[in-house]
Amino acid sequence: MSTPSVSVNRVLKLKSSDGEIFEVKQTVAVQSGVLKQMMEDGCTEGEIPLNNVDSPTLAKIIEWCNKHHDNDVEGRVLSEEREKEKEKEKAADMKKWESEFIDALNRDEIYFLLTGSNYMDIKELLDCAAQKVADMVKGKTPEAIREMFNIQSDFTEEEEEAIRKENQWAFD
Amino acid sequence: MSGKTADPEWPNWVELPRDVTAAIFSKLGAIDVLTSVQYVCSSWLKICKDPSMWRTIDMRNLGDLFDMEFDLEKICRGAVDRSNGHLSSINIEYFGNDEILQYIADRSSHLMNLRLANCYSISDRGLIDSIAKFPLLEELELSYCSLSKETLEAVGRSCPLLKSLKLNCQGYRYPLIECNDDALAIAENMHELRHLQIFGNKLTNSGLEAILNGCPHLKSLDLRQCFNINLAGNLKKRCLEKSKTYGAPTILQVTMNSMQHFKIVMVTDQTGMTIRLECMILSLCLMMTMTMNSLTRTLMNITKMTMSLAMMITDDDYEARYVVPGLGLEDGLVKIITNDNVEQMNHAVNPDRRVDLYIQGTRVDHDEACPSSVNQFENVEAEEAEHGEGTNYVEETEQGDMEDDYLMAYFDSGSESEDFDDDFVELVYQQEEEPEVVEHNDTYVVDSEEQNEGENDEQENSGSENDESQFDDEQMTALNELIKMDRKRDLKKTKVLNSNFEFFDENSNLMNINLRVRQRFLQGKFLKM
Repeated sequence: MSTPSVSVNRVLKLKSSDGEIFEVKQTVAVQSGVLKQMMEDGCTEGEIPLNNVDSPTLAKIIEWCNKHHDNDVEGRVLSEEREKEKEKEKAADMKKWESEFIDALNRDEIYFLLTGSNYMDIKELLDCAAQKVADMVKGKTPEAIREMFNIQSDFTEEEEEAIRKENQWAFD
Repeated sequence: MSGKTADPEWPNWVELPRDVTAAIFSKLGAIDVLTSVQYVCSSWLKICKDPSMWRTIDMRNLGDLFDMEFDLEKICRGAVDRSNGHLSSINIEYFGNDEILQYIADRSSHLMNLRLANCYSISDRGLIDSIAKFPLLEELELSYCSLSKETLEAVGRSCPLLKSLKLNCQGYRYPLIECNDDALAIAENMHELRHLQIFGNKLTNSGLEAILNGCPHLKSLDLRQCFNINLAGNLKKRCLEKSKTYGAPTILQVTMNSMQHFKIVMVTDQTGMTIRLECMILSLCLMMTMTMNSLTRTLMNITKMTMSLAMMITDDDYEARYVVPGLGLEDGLVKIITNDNVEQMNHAVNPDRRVDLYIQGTRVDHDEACPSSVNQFENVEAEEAEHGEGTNYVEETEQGDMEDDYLMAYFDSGSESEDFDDDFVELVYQQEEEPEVVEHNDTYVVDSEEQNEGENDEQENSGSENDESQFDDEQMTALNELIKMDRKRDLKKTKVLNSNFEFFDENSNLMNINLRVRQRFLQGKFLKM
């Protein structure tokens, strides 16, 4: 497996769907499976168009990646024992940061974060956002979920009937 | 159903990539998905009908079966149906019974992970019949299920690949029941086990021995609340030998006649081959009689250890001689209390005995945290508490019945100023031939022991208060040995503050504790307090 030629100081230029350019260190960008692949393939010269990610979302994604990168780097400087201890602490801090990060977003932003992280293949971020949506959905009725996400029921009457029949999870 | 048209500006959740939607659903338990989420719209329903969604079925619930709106059995059957024979992991905690287990067994021959915690209505017969249909099972949890020995044997025979077993139950000390049935069933039938968790099991030493014999690959063994285990002598040695032979963990060496509280956490290293005991909590093990050395010789990777009120733990003369040849310890009896928990500490100090309280503070700032008074002591605790979370080890503390007043009295009488650092260095300079050794070692010892004439002080009388006023050459060499060893271990700074407290460097490990113990002991003689 080839390791991407990543240097600390080199930056990638990411272009969001609305034309804004973001500069990201290569070391940060490797968190994205897509960008990592591009670096391995050596096709990261110039601007990299990310047509499915708008600038507010890309800004959020980069914020996330930077935070996670910083965390990794700090951890490595320390001695082994210190590191272990630090890591635990870091993990807790990071969890806290993540939940604050994700809680600050509204539904639409989460949606775009989901699609963006999926598009850029950033698994951790996708997981985190998916967990947030799952938490929102938990314990809700189908109607409430439709309301929440502005989804319309597209079942035909026959299907509705079939569902009603099937949907008998309650005790007899 | 709302009749309004979706705002085109809004993100359309239904059009999320399928994988993303599936990722969201997978974070919900099976119950939410089947009873609600799948009925939101036809594309979600389609995703929820895909067998790949159902390789793992997590029927997690709060165990409130009587308040439940849904019939979990029905839901579970529905989920199993959808898995279409590809089920690899299922959790049917609380509601699992013979019928549903049989239903799963008939449809899921590839099952690798089965969780049956708190399934009170699963019978021995039911489990034996079903488990036979899970030949690939690797992980099984049967906690709080009360099953017979025969059932465990059947499990072992039916699941030759079983690598992880959890068989926890509530541990009781009284009435005293000793029973090795589980242990023997495990030992004789589950030879591939890597992880075994048996909280509150009634097994005894022979049971444990059988497990050690029968499960050569064991990497972790969790024996919390196993009150009948009394490890010493031969068995201890065997644990050690075993760990050498198989690269398996050194399980533990303890004697726990009246063990109140016991927790061992084992962690694999990166290779996954060796195990390193990192945390050991032996608080309130009043009757524990092992020696510090027997612990330290094997637990080189320990990073946290508490032994509140484990007053019978001694320093061991034979071992001490081994580490420091020529050290003429006759009976290096040093009582130890280790703690980093405020509550425990309050209860741990009993002024009737002269007990040495050792505090291993992973994050304590030594200079600020010297417990020279009760107030400062409390500061230490605050700091400890603050950082305690980070260590990731949950302490389930049980308190003794001692009164808090003791603590106050004790600390008041033992309070010292920080000047003692200097005093000590001076003392060392007076008597130590190579003062720079101490300097480099950055070790400060303040030893202001009070003689304790308490009647309960029997351990104390056995030799640690020898009247030798000076080190002879032999002992001097020994002390230097100790110091050198400390330096090898990169001890940055260690303090011994009057006889009551010991603070350790943040990188200190158990060996340091041990050395410290001996060193302090030596100092006791050295300074002729």
